[in-house]
Formats: sequence, C-alpha cells, structure tokens
Amino acid sequence: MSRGFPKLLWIPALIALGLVVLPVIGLLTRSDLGQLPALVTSPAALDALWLSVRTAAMSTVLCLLLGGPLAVVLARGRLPGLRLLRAIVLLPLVLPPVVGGLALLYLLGRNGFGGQLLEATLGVRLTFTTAAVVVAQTFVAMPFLVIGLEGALRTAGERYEAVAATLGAAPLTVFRRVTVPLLLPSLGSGLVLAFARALGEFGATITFAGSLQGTTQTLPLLVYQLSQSDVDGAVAVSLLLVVLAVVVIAVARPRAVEGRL
Amino acid sequence: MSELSLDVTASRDKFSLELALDVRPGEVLAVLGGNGAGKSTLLSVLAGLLRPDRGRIELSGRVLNDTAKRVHLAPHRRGVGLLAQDPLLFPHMTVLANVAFGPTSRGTARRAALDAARHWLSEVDAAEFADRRPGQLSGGQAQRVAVARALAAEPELLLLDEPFAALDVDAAPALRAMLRRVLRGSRRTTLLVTHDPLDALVLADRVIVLAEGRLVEQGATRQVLGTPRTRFTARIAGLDLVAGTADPAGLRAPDGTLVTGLSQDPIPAGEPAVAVFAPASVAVHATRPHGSPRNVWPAVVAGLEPHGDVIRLRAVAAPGGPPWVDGLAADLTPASVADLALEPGGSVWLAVKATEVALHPVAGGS
Repeated sequence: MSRGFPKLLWIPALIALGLVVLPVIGLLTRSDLGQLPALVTSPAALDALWLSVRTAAMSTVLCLLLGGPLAVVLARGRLPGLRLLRAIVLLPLVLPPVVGGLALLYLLGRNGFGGQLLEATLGVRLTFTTAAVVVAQTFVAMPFLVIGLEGALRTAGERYEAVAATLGAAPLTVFRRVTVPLLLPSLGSGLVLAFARALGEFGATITFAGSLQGTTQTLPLLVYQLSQSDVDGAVAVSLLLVVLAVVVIAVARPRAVEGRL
Repeated sequence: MSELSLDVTASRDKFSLELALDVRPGEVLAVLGGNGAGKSTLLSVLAGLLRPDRGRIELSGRVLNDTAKRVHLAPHRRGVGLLAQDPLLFPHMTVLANVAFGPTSRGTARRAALDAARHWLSEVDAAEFADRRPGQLSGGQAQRVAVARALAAEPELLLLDEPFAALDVDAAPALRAMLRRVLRGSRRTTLLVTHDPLDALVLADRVIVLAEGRLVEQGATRQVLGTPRTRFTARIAGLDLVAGTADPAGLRAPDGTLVTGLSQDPIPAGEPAVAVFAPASVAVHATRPHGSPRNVWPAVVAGLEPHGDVIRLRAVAAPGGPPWVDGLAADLTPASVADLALEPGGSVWLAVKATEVALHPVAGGS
C-alpha cells in the first residue's frame, strides 16, 4: 500500500525474483517438448504422481489433526516448560531432512524401540512402506502449520475467547464457535504450506522410507533417480512438479498464503 | 436481582488489590481510580479471568471464589457479564448472531435466542444493524451492540470496563444515556469501572474510589464527587483540594496558611477538614493582586494543557510558598494565557474568592 520505499530496493528485489523465476525457465528450455507427454505419462511417473498427491494429502490431514491441537496448547497453555516445547517443535524445520529421516529410522525402524514396539503390539512394520512416507512428510511439514497457527492464535489474543466465556459459553463452545472460525484464514495458509512442504519432501523420505516405485517413490525421489541416468525424464517429471506447485498456489490463492492479510 | 459480596486480595504484574465490597441487588456501583489503581484487576477477578490470592466472592448466594475451600468457578459458570471499552464483537458473525451468542451458548433454543437478540438490539436502538457485520459499524454502533450482547446473556452481575473510553466525544453522551435507561430499566446489579466522574454521576448509585489497589473513599455518587475527601478523588473529580484542620476563620493548612471558605455546617475547630474549589474559580495573576480575594498564594507554572475550551494550568509550590499548592489546577482562557505570557517555570499568584471555596469535614486520618 505504501508507495514510499527507497527505489534502490528494486535492484535486490529483481535479483530475488530472478532467482525464483529463472531456474524454472531454465528447466523449460532444457526440456524436449515433443517427448514430454510420453515421459510424463510413463508408469513410473504416474505412480509417483499419484503417490505424491496421496501421501501429501494424508500428511496434511495428520498435520491438521495433530498439529492444530498442538498449536492451541502451545499458544494457550500455561504449563511451565512450554517455551522449551515451542523450541523443540521447530526442530524439524531447522534439522536437515536427511537427519530427520535417520532419526525416524532409528526410532521406528526394525531395530528402533518404537519400531519393535509397533511390531510386537500391532504387528506393523513401518519402514519402506507408504505409511513411512506419510510419517516422514508429516515430520517435516507439521512445524509449518503449527508455527503459523500458533502465531495467529497469539495475535488474535484471548480477548474474544474471554468475552465468549463471560457470555456463558463453555470452553468447547468457545473453541468451536470463536477460536476456530477466527483461525480459518491462517489455518488455510498453514495447510497449503504443509501440503507444499510434504509434496517436496525428499531427504527424510529417502532415508526412512526408501525409493520403491508405487510404494515409497514420490515425485522428488523419482526426479532424483532419473537425474542419475535419464536427464530428459528428470526434467519432464520436474516440470510435472512445477505444474503441481502452480496448481496448489492457484487453488490456495494468494489470499490464503498471505494469511491474515 | 443479585447481591454481590467480595473480600479478596489479588495481584497481577506489579499491581495488587485488597478490597472488601458489597453491592446491593440492582445497584449500580461505580469504581473510580486512575491508572494502576487496581480497577481492571478487580474486573478480572470478578469475571473469573484471574484467580485471587486470597478471599471469597459470593453472587446472589452462589460462591464464585473461596480460596480457603479452593473454589474457583470458571468464567462461563459465573453469570458475570463483561463489557469492555473495545466492543470485541465476533467479526465472523452478524450483529444478530453476536447478540444471540450468549443465549445459544447456554442452551437456549435457536428461535428463542434470536428473539431475545432482537429484543435487546431494539432496547439499545440498534435493531436496524441486525444483519450487518461488525466491520460495517461505527465505534458507537458497535458498542451499542456489545451492550445488547452483554445483556442478552442475562448476567447476574454486569461489569462495565470504561465502556465509553474508546468512543469519540460525539458518540459517548448518547451511549451513556442509553446505558442509563437500560440499566435502570432492567435493575441489573452493575459494577462500572471508569476514570470519568461524569460516567459515575450519570449511571451510578454509589461510588468507591480506588488508589493503589486500596479503597480510599466511598459513598453516594453526588456526595463523593461533590465533596471529595482526598486529594486523589478531587483530582479525578476535576476539583482542587487542600487538606488541613478546621479553624474558626476557615481551614488551617499544615504549614499554617489559612484558606478562607464557606461550610454547609459549622466544623468544630481543630477537626480534620478539606477545602474544595473548582479550577475555573482560580484566578491567575502575574503580580500579587490587591483587593478583595483573601486566598492568594504564590505558585510556579508546572504545565499548561488544553482542557475542553480552556487551558488548564497545573501549579507547583513556589520557593518559600505553601507546599500544598503542588498539583492545584486553574482554568484560563487561551487569551489570558497569552496576556499573562504564561510559560512553564514562570512565577504566578493564584487567587480564589472565599465564596468559591467549600469546606468539608473529613473522617479522621484521610
């Protein structure tokens, strides 16, 4: 809105824009448009596309069901040590995903105590399954939702909730009729960010879930595999990911990504 | 109609509150005090948003808090409504849904809740806004709706937290009159927190004055504001006040200065008393005036600030002059400020006619 910014800022701003846009153009110029349909519709690519969309959607739902309540607890809780907890939630954001994948492997892998517990009690083995992909994606994507929501909860403050309580509304009613509706815009942007992060997840997935076509090989993993041998295929699948990203942005619309604005 | 009785100690941040209080059923009690007097702490404790450190609160026979028995009723179970200076209408609901929120939250059927909401909206002259969003209302309109919402929840005790403070000067009088009508009509037990003595005069049956978390004065509204017994109350009531002891000729200040004035009833000599006068009755002179006024004191100008149509001068004691001149106020027209070439730090003489000074007895010690 404000037009009064130093004109000098245009220079770094244009460089930044170029840094975002030019690589995608580079990808387009490198691609062989004639071969593109065949490459993109190869069984491996279609498998990976379907798997990516499915797992990212499941992770996003998990982020909402688990991360949403976590954000509320972090923003509204009065427990001692909550500050520390808040820092720990940021861990997957700071940690290289590969390290996250290793950590998951040693917790939930065949030899990890979590993995042994799962196998003993439920007879479930997580590693190298689609479920492992979802777990890895949720691990890296959840902080995006939690941080966004927690920030929104803090900005919204407790004043509306306090008023609702003095009007006689029980905590669950306040949550349902006041807290959640007020959060919807930032919830939208948090979900889009989490979905996008899950879609692009690579490091934790390949370490924890492996790269098996149809089971754990998501689009980024397929791109990586192809780039070792079939560069045309890698570029084609990359473009598929770009299209998917554009679709996510279009569906979410800038309003949701900008959140409260 | 509900009776409130309270006796609590509470602390928040650096403020602490220690207060015992009874509010009769249907009574409107104004709580006056400056910033940090403990007014909002009191409201938070009553609304259940803050736990008292010690004490007991009872509302129409129900115990809301009893620290001895570890009782702390949650805000939504207390029947205590809160109207803050910010209307805080839920932005995602229509005006009608906002007002119906209280009834529906407590299980009233939707149709009955909407009927109640319409009734209260028309009570506050806001029926035509029913289908609007809060964002489409002016500040005064939003505050009307907030009043309707608070009343629609049928609270046994209504807390009003500076309800006009955020409104512009044009909207406040209308809302104040509306609130007076609605509060009188519904005979609802109400606690009104304000720093504006006018709110108390218009709305309240009784006034208590808080300073630093303690009760410093209480009584019927006109009596407390018309005859303030402490310097603090006088300042918030916008009056000048000098404390001392009664003397056959007037009031003897602690430094020996005599302040002449009139009293309703004779005050026995030597009794504690106060002299009260309006800043508008204080004349300001550049040199010591001669003639009729007997109350003439040297002072130094501490500050000049606009106060409605006039300029309010705040005085501090002049070297060698009476020390209680500190904090006295005098109202001048902008023209006389210019004529006298008044500036902060300048020496002046304050003069008040004896007929403008009211002398009041005070309870010992204050």
